[in-house]
Amino acid sequence: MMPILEYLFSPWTLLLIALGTWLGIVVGAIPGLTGAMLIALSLPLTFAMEGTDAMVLLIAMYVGSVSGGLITATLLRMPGTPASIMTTLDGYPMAVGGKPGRALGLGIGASGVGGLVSWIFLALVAGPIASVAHHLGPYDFFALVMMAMALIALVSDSMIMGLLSGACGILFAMPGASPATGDIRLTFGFMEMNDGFKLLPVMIGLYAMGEVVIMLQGKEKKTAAVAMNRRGMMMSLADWRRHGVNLLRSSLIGTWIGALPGIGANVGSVAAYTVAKKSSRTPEQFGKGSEEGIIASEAANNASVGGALIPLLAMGIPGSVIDAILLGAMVIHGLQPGPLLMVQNPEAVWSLGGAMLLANVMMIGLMVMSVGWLSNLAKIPRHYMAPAIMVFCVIGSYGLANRMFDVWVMLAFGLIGLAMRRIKFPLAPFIIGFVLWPVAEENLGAGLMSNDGSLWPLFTRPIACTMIVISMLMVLFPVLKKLKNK
Amino acid sequence: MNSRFIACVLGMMLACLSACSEKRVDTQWPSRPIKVIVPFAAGGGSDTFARQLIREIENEALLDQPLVVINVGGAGGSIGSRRVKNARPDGYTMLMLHEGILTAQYAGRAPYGPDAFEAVAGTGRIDMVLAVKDDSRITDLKQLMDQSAAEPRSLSFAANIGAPSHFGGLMLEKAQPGSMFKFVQFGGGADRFAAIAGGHVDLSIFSVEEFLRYREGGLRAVAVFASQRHPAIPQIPTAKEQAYEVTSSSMHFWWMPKGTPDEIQKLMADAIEKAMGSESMKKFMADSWTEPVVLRGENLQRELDEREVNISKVSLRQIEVLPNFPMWIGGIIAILIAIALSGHFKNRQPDVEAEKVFAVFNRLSLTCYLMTGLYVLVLSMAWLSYPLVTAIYIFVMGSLIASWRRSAMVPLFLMSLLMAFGLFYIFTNVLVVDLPG
Repeated sequence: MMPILEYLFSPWTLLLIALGTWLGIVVGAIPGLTGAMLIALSLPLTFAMEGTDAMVLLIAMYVGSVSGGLITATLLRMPGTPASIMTTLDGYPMAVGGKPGRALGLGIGASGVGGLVSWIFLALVAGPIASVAHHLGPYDFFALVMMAMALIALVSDSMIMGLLSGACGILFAMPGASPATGDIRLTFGFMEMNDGFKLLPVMIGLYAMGEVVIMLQGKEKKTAAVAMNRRGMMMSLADWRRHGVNLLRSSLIGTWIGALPGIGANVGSVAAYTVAKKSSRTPEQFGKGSEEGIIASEAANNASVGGALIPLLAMGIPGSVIDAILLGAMVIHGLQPGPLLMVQNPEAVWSLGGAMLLANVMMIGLMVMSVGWLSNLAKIPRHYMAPAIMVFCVIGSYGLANRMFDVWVMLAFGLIGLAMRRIKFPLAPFIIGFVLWPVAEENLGAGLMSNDGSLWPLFTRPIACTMIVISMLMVLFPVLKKLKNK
Repeated sequence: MNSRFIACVLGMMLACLSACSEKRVDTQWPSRPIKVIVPFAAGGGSDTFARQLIREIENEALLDQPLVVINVGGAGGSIGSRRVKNARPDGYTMLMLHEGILTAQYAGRAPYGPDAFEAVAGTGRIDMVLAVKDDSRITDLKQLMDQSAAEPRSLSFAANIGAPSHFGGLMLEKAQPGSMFKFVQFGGGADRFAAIAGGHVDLSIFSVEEFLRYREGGLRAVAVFASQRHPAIPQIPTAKEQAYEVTSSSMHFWWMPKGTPDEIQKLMADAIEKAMGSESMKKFMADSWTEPVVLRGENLQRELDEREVNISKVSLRQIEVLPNFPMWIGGIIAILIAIALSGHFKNRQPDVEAEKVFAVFNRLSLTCYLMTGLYVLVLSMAWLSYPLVTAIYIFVMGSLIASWRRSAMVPLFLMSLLMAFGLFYIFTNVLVVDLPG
């Protein structure tokens, strides 16, 4: 315990957390820049750092980026990140109504509580989950990964599209050395393809580069900003009492949804908002400046960060798209993700958990201090932003392994990402399929090799069987329901 | 924009230009930094060893120029080794790769082996240990091999298929006729330990350091694959003592592209040998249970030949139990597309405009995308140096988006210079990334 605290409260670590949180807030506040983009583009800059330091920095960025969006959502009615779309519904009307300070104060306070609640869960649950996962055999782990993929398909707007997108992600994870046998496949004769497509250029292409092209489509947006004033920014004791139930409920929803694989802050915020509206005494106020709406949305989106770290740290399964990048970052920095991480490297795990908590605390302070000028950031013209981001996309993809091939991959995936957005093909299942397939194949391969190619253990081992049944039910249930309705 | 800021930008430009101009033809090797390609990710065993040795070379000032580690990971080291194979044989590119270079060739993962390089030196031997779970019935190597011969494929062996750990198992198998292990894929040492501890496999091979790290977690050593007992675990007999002629160890080899002048190879080997003799390097190796061996010249060639003979004796068995995953996934995708399309046609909505679906770009974004493509092309062809092409790219693209408005051009100009040269400086000097162009 002591060395972890010593590490966390050393000036260098605190500086990293503050820097990460601050950058996250800035990027979160600027519409068009997302946390996924910031983290994917910063990762190459951390290569020279100590593994834990790098992860602490990236996690602080994650926390900041989920929080920063509420400023622009409230003052400009532009969600800085998708996670704060629900905040615009009530934050902006409230700000227009003359209470911008109060709206921001509620949002910031709720964000802090959400982060805290989810951290408590992370601290309580991650250890036990890891020690259970430690005993899972290859078949069990394969079934677990399959369940995660079924789940992410389930929450997409159209399940068939979700499944298709996940399968396409798997297909793009195939080229290169097979994780089960090391055999080289699907390289079409290109030696450069022997290592397949790496996560970082794929992510930079799909998210960062895609966003820039979208930024360039259409006209530059002009927005009516609300003048900022700080009145009512601090929440009073009465506020806490009045909103206590809503805060706790929204935080729990956020944590739970964050912990489910593949879905993160966006869905968490929507779900908590919907529940808050349903159980409110004044549902008609929602969308017109309801305090409860702001609180539900912001508590849930911050809570999802801690929730999503639970499966990542305990089992090496990413809980959201950003966690998928963090997973790649852990591998790059020599922290092998998986249930063993908790046993082998408990200091690292708890330093990361602690960093998340500290980042949340710093987030509150940084947001309160810099609210005024952060809202001006959204007005940086795109002719400065777009070329700068593009240059980072190129150098970031290159820096991963010092080769231009990754840059071409990034460009290609930028195009694929645009096409996917265009035909409303969900991106998240694609990424999750892409990230999880190697884990699935390695485990299934190990299982098949030790059992002479028999698939039976998938159904005879209790844990594997339970998870396979659950994933089948998840896929079949909506289909059956639809048939019944006809 | 004040004048001090502009002066700053210009100063940085000058510094970078002077750094670039150092790339001149040399008469006295080394006259510029030497790139050492480590074909694995930063932070692993190979990377740590290479960086430590290079630090010693620099501390003792054994070479006039710094050595720079560049991690080019992937495909079991063959991505990085290929880069060195194709590099100019001028002594400024070097590879550090263990016996994986041999196993990759014999497993069919790379079309070339040690012959495609000049071997400069071999450093630091890491001995291997065969281990089972601590409550296993197997107590010695004889018993293990007898069981394996009596019931082939009854014992499962965790190995990284096609990599040195797999070949170690195959060599052991070969030592007793009739014996056959069931090889199961588990990547690194940690995974192999987890597989044994969880009871999913019976035995595996570990480096001495890995074994010491996981011993408490439930491992028991059966034999050491070395010519002598290991000082860290003197109670464990060698395979030879148990009448099996198997040695398996790992060694870091240093390679230069084929055709590198002999004098350069000799100077490099001298530097490596001296650095290996330094006190702090010795301490580093003692801490990681690495034998402080240095091989060069004939000794090195003998070692490599011996390893090649051992590896070439065994042959990989085809793994037939795995389904053809790409085909399965392709099939699933085809079925899903069929379902999606049939659903699409059944409730077709008239408001979906077919031509708009494919209009991913508008004119501005298409121009910018193509310009980025051109930028990457120029970089990969190395037609212009990185800072120059980047500055031009930023300025032109920014101006294009701002529709060549005069007011935006001056700040854009400054920004392009600042970013291009700033990034160049940070990446080459601080992060030591070898930028293209």
